[in-house]
Amino acid sequence: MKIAIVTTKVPFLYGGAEFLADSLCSKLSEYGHQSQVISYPFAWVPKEAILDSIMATKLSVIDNTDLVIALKFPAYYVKHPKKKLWLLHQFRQAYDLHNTEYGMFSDSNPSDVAIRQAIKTMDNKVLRDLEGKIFTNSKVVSDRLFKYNGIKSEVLFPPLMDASIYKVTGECGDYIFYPSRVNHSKRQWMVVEAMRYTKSAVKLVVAGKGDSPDDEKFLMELIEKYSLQDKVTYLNRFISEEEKVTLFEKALAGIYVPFDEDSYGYVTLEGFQAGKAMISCKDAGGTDVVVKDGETGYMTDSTPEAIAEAMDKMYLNKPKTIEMGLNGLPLLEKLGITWDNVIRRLTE
Amino acid sequence: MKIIVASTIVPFIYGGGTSIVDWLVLKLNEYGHQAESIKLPYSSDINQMMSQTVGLRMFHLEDYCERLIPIRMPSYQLQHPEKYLWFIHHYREVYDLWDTEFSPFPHTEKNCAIREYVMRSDDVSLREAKKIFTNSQVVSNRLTKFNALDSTVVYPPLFDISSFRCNSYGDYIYYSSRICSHKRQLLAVQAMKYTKTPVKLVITGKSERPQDAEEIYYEIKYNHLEDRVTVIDRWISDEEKAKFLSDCLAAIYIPYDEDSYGYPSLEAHHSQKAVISCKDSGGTDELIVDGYNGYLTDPTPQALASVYDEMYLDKNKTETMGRNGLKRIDELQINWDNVVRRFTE
Repeated sequence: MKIAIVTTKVPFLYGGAEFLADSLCSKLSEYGHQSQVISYPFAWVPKEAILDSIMATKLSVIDNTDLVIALKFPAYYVKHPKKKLWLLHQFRQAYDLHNTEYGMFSDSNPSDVAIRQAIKTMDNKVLRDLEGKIFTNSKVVSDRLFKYNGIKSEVLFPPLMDASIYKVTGECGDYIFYPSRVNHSKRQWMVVEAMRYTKSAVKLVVAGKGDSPDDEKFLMELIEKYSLQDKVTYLNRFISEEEKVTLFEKALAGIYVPFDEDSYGYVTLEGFQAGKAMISCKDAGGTDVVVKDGETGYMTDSTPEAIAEAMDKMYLNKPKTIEMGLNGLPLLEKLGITWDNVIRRLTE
Repeated sequence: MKIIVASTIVPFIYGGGTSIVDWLVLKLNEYGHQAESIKLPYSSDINQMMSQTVGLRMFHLEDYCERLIPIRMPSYQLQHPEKYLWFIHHYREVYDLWDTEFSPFPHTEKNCAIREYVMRSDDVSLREAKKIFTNSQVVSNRLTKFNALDSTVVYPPLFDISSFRCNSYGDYIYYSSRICSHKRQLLAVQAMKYTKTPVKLVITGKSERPQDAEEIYYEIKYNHLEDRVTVIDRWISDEEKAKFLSDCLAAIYIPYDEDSYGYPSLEAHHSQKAVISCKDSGGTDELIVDGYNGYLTDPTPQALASVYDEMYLDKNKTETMGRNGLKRIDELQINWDNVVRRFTE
């Protein structure tokens, strides 16, 4: 099948959504389809540009294509007889972000009210027509879609792009591994602080560049302040995929504790691919989909003390930790977090 | 400078029109600019023409780049205060081909109205451009004729010339291109019936349809040309092609009525080989000066045969013409320095 993945982009930016579009494209090719990513430029300044962008996309015609998979607002407005949605997010400023500090429309400005209303009305119509063919990448997005538009959808979790580079070696080291960009909301700082409270010989390895130099400095100062140099290693640089694989394979377990994210994060999937149990926090957002307390890892309160306790448990009962690590992959299988499942649902 | 190179695509069709976009983006980045492409789908269905055009005018790119370079039609409908076009062709079916057998559109009242719309909206949006560059004199002439617009030719160079070299001037004429009726490989083979010297012909390239290759094979067999004509009907690698070029006597490129001189002609010149083309090939006459860096002949087997023989017999002249090919590329400024300078100055 010839499959066009249509999405929206801000020129010169490449982020998670662009990566997912490219991943889906290469996976579709692996599964024998012909696939191509089509990205429409999207602008929201001035605010009228949002409506222009909707119209521009609506008037675009996709020829020579059997199936269109749309990922983002307003790419799903594109004209095609066979269209499915794998929605990564709506235009949140018109919905859940409205009247928060991240919103952009004022209820007292008639023009703002009209634009926001137009977005909602057009969304309702186009989404209603697609009902039954709408997937989202997380429960949060599905919930929002139902809450604000009354549209039902099915969650189709995005799998790891290249799982084949990981293997379960059975090695079991003495450190917990946290690979991720370093910033305040990923809360590496909380994990470093947890190391003040551990009672066992468990160690911590944090790897990743800071979003800003200050983010890195903050972590390094914490380590120094509490004299944690012997227990905590911080690799403040970009680490290669190979390096990440090796660090995961030699680890005791992994940890991923961002604040209130929509999805479970690729880090948790990487940990499972390496056969490692994962620690996460109850307020991390989507991680609870895959990190099941006592089954594939530990879900703790978001305090250094609670995290420390989970780390000690991991270290002191290694057979249980190893067993939980091995439960990860079967759980992903059960939840349909596999490309087999994603490709089947999107193309059937 | 932050630059967006914009173009239109038909999904899943790749060709010259998409490579020029990718190459320009890579080169702009290589020259220290920040460049990215935007490729928007565009259907050539005449009934969708008007609404699609309106759609293109509604995208907002003004805050995203300092310069916009639209390439394939009608991406010049996109709006931007610093619009520099590299115009490679009109929607020809409603312009120069409208009154010919090549236009698929009957002259119904509706189609005539749509044509009028396309031409008028082109007139408006083309005039928004700060500068209009084209890829050939043929295209510039059409802009003058149909839209009363002046433009400057900036010839598109090859992306990577590092593999092209000259090893020897052998005994074969080389035709490198995909095999199809429009490229007239058959004519190049038919000429071999009339040659008086032992000159040979090598054709490489993947055939578009099996019957295009079969016709050629039949011609070879019927005229017992097996010893002197070689056809390799498959995709060949850049290195294979460079090798054939490095040892050929000269190259041949004889499509019917194309806009541009064609990349095969440039590849031959970068390998210091003269190029044979035909008077009705179109843009090749902008590159090839008859008797200087190749020959422009009548499109008949006999005329081609006598050129093959002449090149074989007067090898000194053939070699000189080959070396002139490189000079000709310089004369026309077919290089990325020139392209990048024009679009960023």
